[in-house]
Amino acid sequence: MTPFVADVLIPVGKVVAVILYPMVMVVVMIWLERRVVALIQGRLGPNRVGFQGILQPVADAIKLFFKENIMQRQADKLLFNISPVLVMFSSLLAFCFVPLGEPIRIGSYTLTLWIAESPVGLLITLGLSSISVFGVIFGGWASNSKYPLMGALRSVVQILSYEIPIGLTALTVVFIARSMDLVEIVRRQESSGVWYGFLMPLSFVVFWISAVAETNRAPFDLPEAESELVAGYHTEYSGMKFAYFYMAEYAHMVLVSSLVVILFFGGWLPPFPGVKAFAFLHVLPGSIWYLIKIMFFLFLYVWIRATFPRYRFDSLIRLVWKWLIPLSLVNFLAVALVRYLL
Amino acid sequence: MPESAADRPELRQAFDALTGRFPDGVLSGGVEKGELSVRVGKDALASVLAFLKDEQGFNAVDDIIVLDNIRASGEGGKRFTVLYQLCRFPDFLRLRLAVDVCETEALDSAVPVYRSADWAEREAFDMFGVRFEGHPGLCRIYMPDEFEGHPLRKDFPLGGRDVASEAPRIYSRESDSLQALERQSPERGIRHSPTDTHPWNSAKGIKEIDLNMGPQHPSTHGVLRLKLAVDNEVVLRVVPVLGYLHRGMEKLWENLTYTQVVPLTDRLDYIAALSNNLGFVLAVETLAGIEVPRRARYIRVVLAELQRLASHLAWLGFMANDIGAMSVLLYSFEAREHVLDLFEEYCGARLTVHGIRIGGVPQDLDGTLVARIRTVLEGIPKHLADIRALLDENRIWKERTVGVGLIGAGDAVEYGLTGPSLRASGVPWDIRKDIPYSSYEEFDFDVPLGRNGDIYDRYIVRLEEIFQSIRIVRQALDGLPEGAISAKVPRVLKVPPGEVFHTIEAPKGVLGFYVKSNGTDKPERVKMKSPSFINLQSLEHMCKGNLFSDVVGILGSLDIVLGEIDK
Repeated sequence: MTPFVADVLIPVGKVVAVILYPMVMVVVMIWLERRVVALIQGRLGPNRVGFQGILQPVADAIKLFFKENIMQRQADKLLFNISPVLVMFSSLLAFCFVPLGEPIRIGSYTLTLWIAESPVGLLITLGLSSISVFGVIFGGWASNSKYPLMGALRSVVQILSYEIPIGLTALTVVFIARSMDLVEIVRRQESSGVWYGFLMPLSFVVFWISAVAETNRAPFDLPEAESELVAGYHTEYSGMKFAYFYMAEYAHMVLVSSLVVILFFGGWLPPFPGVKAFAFLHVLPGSIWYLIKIMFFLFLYVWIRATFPRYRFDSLIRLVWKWLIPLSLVNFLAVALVRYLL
Repeated sequence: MPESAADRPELRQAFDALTGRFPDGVLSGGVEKGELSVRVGKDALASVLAFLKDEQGFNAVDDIIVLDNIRASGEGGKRFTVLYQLCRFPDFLRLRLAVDVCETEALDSAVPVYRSADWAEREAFDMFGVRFEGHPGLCRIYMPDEFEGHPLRKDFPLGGRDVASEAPRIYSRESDSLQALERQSPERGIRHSPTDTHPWNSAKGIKEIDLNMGPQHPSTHGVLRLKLAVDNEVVLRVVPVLGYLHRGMEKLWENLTYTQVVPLTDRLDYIAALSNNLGFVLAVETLAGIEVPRRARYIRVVLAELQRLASHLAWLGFMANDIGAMSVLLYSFEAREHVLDLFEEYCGARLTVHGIRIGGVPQDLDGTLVARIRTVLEGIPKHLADIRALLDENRIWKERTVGVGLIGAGDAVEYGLTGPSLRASGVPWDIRKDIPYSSYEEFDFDVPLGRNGDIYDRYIVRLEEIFQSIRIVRQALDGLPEGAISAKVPRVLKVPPGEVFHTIEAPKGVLGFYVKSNGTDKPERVKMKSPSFINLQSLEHMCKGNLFSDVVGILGSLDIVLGEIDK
């Protein structure tokens, strides 16, 4: 392999892939959500554009692209324009540190499916995904309108609160894996033979609930509760700026699902690694297993949305401060103790 | 006092008590069509109302009706006659007070006595210009504040007038400052940081902000506008603003023949169009003395109860969607769809059905349709079981509904609540049971009651009513008598002079029609007492101190339809 390929083409290719991958996933996810919700509700859902309506999100994107960008004159111009970009940017940037699959061997060259393998990958990813809340707050504030402002305020409280259990449960994984490197965490699960989700079910449950809340998804979709706040923080946005918020939300879901799979369900590892009877499962490459697992959690998002009513603000906060945080603290201490004794 | 009162001794008793107490105030009295109607002097009105409420137990004002006597000058030559339609329940007794008033005079307000008269008086003021002294905030309710004239007066032109209307300013405080800014620097246009006029900063030291909800809002069930004052998310005040859908139905009706009015009533509560038909038609039949054949009465019961099913199912879906359970909307609409299919098979229409005619019903129920109704009735409990599995014991649903939007039995009566919302507070008042019409006395059904009067109780009561409706329809189909489906009604129906106030139990509450005839084929005056309109009055009472999210849930739980509120 020439140095040109190794040092220029492959990194550029990876960068393009890291931008394209979330986009493709977003398109698939939007389609999946609309079709699955329709299925659950006894409807058809979009099925006209392309095979089974798979091109519907593309058609929607084209429509949004040609729509007028409206900004009311009271809006703060700078923040109003920055916030959709900020939301999208932070979601996409986080994918740099998330592996897209297991390394592929091509002859003597090993192609790694991630841009950066950082020793603190988990920390950076969580940090970057939290930046998106600034976009939400700025957007709600800059609109200078009441419903977006209320949405933004709800968002601040909600995301600040739910960051705590996310951090505490992610730390338990770090304890066990003794690493903050996302790739390393998967490797540790491979060598230890057990996925951390089964080792620490409580961690997984708390992490998942908090992650749903952090992505502003039903039943925790208060910042954009349509029956109350019209559209919440992005009420005043239209056209592509709205599309940015919309796509960033789905990209965030893909990111969170990837994190859940990496932290708790062995990333790209096929299931039942030690069991001979299930050796045939290794036929599928790791990246496919990884995708299947991510899709499962994305499906779970949709399933939850179609099933539950929306929380009210006070019970949402009660849930996190009275249940999830104490639970994750106890869980954290237990894991730390076990880790110390072993 | 005419002899015909003898069949209702309570009526005579009430009348005697009234004349005994106010020998000068009571001018005349009479019973017509089983209704006691008493004419009192303007000055005695307030004390008569207080007496009737405190000592005679008339606990509700059904409606306040104004008659414009410009054509047939009223008694004493006064321009307006104001009718107070009072009601006593659970032991049913109804009384109509009539007061004559000139254009220049003002009446004493009934609001200090009857809290529920608030909006009815505002409506009377808006439509006729009758003023009420002592009303807490007498202003127009349907027409814009700057509107001139009073549309229901007989001398107001039928086609209306062109009105130069300026869009009301919603954020007065902000728009004032915005305009001030613009005046200062018109060449720059508006450019300021959010801190200048930001809603939360503009009123320094005051945490309260005004929030405008509607008329374009996903959960105001039409074009209702609520002016909210909130402190953070806590609701301090709720002021409903009506009139975005006001079509002047009552004015229209005065200029149409009785048969032409019926299809227009479809457009009132369009979720339960058939109940409106029934309410109006029954009032006209009572007035004209038309005896409806028994088979027609049974078919009406079948249709009305199917309509109640459809209405409650639609309510369930909207309500759940307001609280965020969107799948329930689709599930209950699927069930409703089957009921609407039945209407389609019966009369060709699904939503605005016009399924009842004066004198009877337009179509007979044939064997195949009866069989289809039975199949649909089989299927509905299955749909409901799915929905109940999703909601009944759901933690989030219970957190959102139990103890939210509380209204006690006393307050509920005081605010004039009717229908399922009243029964959810534990008041057993169902017109079908208490003043049976259209053969309801021949059917066996229960009136489900709630205990606490919260959203959850309203949910349970309506669900239970769906099952009771199924029961009634089954009984009516089993006992469907043979015979004609319509009485002989002349092609041009001329109703002898008289007046009647007839109420039915519509899905949303007590639906009343006051019809006054003048011997021609067109009514002199039709006034509709719409349940949604009166029920909405209690919204502020239920919302105060709750969170903003709850306003949406409480509004949903009241089951309002703007077509009926705005008439």
